Amino acid sequence: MSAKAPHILVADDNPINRMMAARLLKEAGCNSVLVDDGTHALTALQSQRFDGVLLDESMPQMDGSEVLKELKRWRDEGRIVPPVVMVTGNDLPSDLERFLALGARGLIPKPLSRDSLQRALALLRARL
Amino acid sequence: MRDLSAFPVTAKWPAQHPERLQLYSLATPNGVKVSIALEELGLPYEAHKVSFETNDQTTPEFLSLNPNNKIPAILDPHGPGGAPLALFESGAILIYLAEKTGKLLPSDPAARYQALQWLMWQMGGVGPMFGQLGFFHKFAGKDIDDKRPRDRYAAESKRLLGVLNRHLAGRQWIMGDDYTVADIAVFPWVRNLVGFYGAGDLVGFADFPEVARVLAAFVARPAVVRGLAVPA
Repeated sequence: MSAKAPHILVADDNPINRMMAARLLKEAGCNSVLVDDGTHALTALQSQRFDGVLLDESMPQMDGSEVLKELKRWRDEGRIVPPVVMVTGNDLPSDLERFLALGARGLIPKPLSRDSLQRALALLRARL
Repeated sequence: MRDLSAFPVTAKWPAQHPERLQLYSLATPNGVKVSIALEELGLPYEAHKVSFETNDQTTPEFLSLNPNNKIPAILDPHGPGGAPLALFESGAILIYLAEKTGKLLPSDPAARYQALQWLMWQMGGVGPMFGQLGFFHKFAGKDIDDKRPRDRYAAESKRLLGVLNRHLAGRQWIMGDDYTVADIAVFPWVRNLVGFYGAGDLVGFADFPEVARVLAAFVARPAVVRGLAVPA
């Protein structure tokens, strides 16, 4: 992430969650773009450069796992893909394992809070 | 205050002190290089044991930090630019720690490159050759009837020890008066070859008195004594 305000994409089908994420991100000094589905997340990722993605798992048209799979394809094609942290209620160890295998950096259980956003941002900012 | 709990590696190895550098390791020659360097530098760190017996190194939590499934690996909560930095490969970690602190590498540019040269010499030569010799002399490979692999690695290990022995004549450490990451990379492997691997006679260690002299000085350092026992 550069010194200027980090640009974060939030994908979540729940409008309250999106609003909450936007507010917490603003508080943390980040800009955010909000989308309500995986398909819109991919559209946004194609047209803008993000420093990180907070991705929900269950969304109506295209879920988080499908987004991760598509991003993996992009990466395999040599495209630069921002780091992704899952923000989801599916937070069993087996879920984490599955998301890691799909290329996510980690998982933050819902609901997002000021503290858990800080943890997510540390993971997004990390050089891994 | 750093919070590393979003990092998947901390799910398996929780950070009690997330503001400290996190080391994931085992007390092998490559593992102790990093703990010795950290002890020499006096950097606060927290060590986590990655057990080969339970194949910890192939778990998703470890792989999230190091896709190469080998120890050692680190997660420094205070990396360049203040962002956490994950690193694997002991040689790269040693260079990072030296540059982070401005210690354990000579300040003179030419001497610095020569120290790195000896570090690379260890990474590309000593580690792989001694390691294979250990396999064919002490571990599963010792039961192989054909002794050519063992003899090949013994001969190459001898050659490397000869190079080091000639270089050390008249020098206190690999870089003369300067104790550097090159020493920290090389001597755990020499110690392991004659100690744990029991290959001293096979390589004719008695023929390399300069190496033996510096090895003795190395293992007498208090930071080395401490670092060799990490993780407990």
